[in-house]
Amino acid sequence: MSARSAARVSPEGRRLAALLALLLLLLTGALSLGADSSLPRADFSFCNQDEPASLDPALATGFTESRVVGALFEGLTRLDPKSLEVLPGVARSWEVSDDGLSWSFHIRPEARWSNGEGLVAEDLRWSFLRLLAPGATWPSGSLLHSVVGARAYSLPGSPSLGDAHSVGIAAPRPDLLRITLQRPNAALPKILAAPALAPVHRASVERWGSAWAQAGRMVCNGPFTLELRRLKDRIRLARNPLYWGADAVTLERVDALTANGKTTQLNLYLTGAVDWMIKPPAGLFDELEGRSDLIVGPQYGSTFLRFNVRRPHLSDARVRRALSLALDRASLAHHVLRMGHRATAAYVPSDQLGASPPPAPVPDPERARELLAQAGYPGGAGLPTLELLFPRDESARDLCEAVAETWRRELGVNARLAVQTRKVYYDSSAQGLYDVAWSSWIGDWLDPANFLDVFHSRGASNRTGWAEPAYDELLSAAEQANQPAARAALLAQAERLLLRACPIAPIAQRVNVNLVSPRVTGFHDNLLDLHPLRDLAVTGPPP
Amino acid sequence: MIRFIVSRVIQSLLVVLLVAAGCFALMRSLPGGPFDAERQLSADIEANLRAAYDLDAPISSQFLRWAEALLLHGDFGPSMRYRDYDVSTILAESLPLSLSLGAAALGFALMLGLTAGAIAALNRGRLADTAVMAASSLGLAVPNFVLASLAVLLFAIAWPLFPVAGRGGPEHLVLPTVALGLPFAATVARLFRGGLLEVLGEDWIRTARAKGASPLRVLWGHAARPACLPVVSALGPATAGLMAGSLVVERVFGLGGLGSHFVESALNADYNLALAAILIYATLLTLANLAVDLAYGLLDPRMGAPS
Repeated sequence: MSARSAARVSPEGRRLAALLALLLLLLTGALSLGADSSLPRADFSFCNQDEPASLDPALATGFTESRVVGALFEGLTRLDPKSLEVLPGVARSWEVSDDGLSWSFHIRPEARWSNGEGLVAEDLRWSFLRLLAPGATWPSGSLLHSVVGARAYSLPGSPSLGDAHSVGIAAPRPDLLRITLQRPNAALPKILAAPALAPVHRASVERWGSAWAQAGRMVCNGPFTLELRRLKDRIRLARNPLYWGADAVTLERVDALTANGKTTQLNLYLTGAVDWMIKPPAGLFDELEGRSDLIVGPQYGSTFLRFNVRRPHLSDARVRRALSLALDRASLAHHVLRMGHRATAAYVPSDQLGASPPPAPVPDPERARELLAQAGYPGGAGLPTLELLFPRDESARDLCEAVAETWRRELGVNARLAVQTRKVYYDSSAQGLYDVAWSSWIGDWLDPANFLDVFHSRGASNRTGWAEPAYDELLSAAEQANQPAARAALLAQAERLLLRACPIAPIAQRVNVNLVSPRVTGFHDNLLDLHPLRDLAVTGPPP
Repeated sequence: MIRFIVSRVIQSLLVVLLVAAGCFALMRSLPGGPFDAERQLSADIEANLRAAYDLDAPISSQFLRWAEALLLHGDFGPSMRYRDYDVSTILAESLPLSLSLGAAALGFALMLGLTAGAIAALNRGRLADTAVMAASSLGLAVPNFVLASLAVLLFAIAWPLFPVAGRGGPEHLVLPTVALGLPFAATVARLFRGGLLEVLGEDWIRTARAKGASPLRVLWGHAARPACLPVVSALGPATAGLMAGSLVVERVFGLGGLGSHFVESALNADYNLALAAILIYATLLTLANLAVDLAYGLLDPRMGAPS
């Protein structure tokens, strides 16, 4: 533009142009400031449901944490995702004494930390004692409570509080870790595969305190290292060349995305931005069913209702049984929970992946009405309206609506739905501020005791107020049984007692629902929904 | 003027302090604590945690310690949900994203809104006016989660111009900016149109026209400044709202800005993070309102400088 023509532009026009330019500058400047550095695409990306609470193994108790922590760290053992059998991890082999109490784990000479230091038995001993230490703020120490002296080491008021020598964990040689149990426990190698029991690098933890598990500081020993963590965006993992089994790891880079909206995750999957998404939105199950990339299978978990037996009207087992008998579990599983849920009247889920499910229990509303009448509530008359508590969750809401409708229709019992946010729901159920509560439980490894211990009279997660000395005794007897068959029989007996007393009404076995891109190999459905990144591979470029 | 600013800053500080104290007490009195979970912690672990996060002391001494750490060291404390992080680190990661997104949305909303409002006012009663007003009604009526989802459906899935979600280059922020800014653009368009119509009917505008001023000169030289006043009034709360982030937009587009922390920290009972988010919002709101009060004096000489 020449000077002459510029002069022709009125002051208003210039002011207008300046305003628009200013706004445009604000818009583009802000956009470029807010943008992050663009990262090259990882070989494999997945939606990890939510942001992990921590990458410290000590806090890896949920799926979200375990998926990432299990890739960064490796314990003495690990589980085969195909068979869930125990495989050697940091320990190349182990043996147990004849009395089943003393376990010797032989540490691999080639086990290394990601900074090149050798990993020795003392690292594991120190990590285990860290979990058990007095004042510890992580829940995973309880996994080691079967070790001699472990509980007393951390228990306030105990004579051996803080006395590490009293704990049955010893590292007599760099390549030997010895663990002494109070009672034989053949499941120990399986328990030791939990990501929470992986070793941590002592010098890093002592140097950085609670902020050690961050990119640039973390020293780990698993198949991957932590390259980047952007809170609520992604955790980027890079293959660890110093991992003893690095040859078997084919993924160079993995992104665990934390977009926590289900629809957003599905959009990312459907557009090929991620290769794996876990639990697509329940509302879209019908549309997704039948897709070849949808992998559905039973999970080692239960969905059930808790009855608050401290409420006078629910203290009578006949009322609880009536409420349980009226439920049409097959219909609830097929029409409400959908997506392959298996109806069940058992609390401990089936541990057989391929086995055909037992026939769905048949509802018996006639008998339920009789029991209710015997308890003094004929046709539901006189029974106060029950508060049916559930957390904010689409599937829990659908189930509770259907249950309330069944009770109204079959028994004349009214139930009022009460939805609460997760934290408030946990708090309310822990304090017994409910009549009936939607519940679910997932086992850490395949063992019925994982489920049955919950309803021990002193179980922290019992929440029903139900306490039965005979039940507690059966659990103790099972814990001390030396023979697996005897132990299983005692646990089965405990479950029968639990179901007869009916502080809970089991409804269905939970399911794993995964959407996995066809370019991914090494993904095996299993009861623990365990998919180690170490074993995954991809073929071809991302779509 | 300076006295006015100083007194307003002091007032604002008091307001922010009161908000902090109120929220501090409220959050701790609500049911559902930071360590409640499906797997109930054993009593001794929970006691250790409460001691580690200073939750076992009386609430007044908790508040004093928290305020002291914040005022003397700028330390918001550790996050109770993201245990590897302290709140200041989380803010350092999330606030710039929300501020940039908010500023971009504001720029977009003002550009679109002022232009559309001016077009509507100049074409009063004609097709362009009706179209702008209909579009702005739609923009106000459609909630932003619908708008955001629609934007994803159209421009990321059906016509893959932009990424579906996540953080990365500027292209990741285009759809969020539009989804966040459109409802405010609709408000701006309506307010500016209303303001212009009122002003364009004034005698002094007629005088300006009679003296041969061009329509552009009448609009931008005479009418725009007073017509902006309603827009400026709305700008204060809107700026704070846009800058502090939007849960819905950040969730739909998988952006971890302050908006998502704002609501999720309250749901997670992450007391320190929730309190920090509230304080930032309260500070932004009081600052934006102060800026609006100052701008009033500049835009409308009849009001004079605030004193």
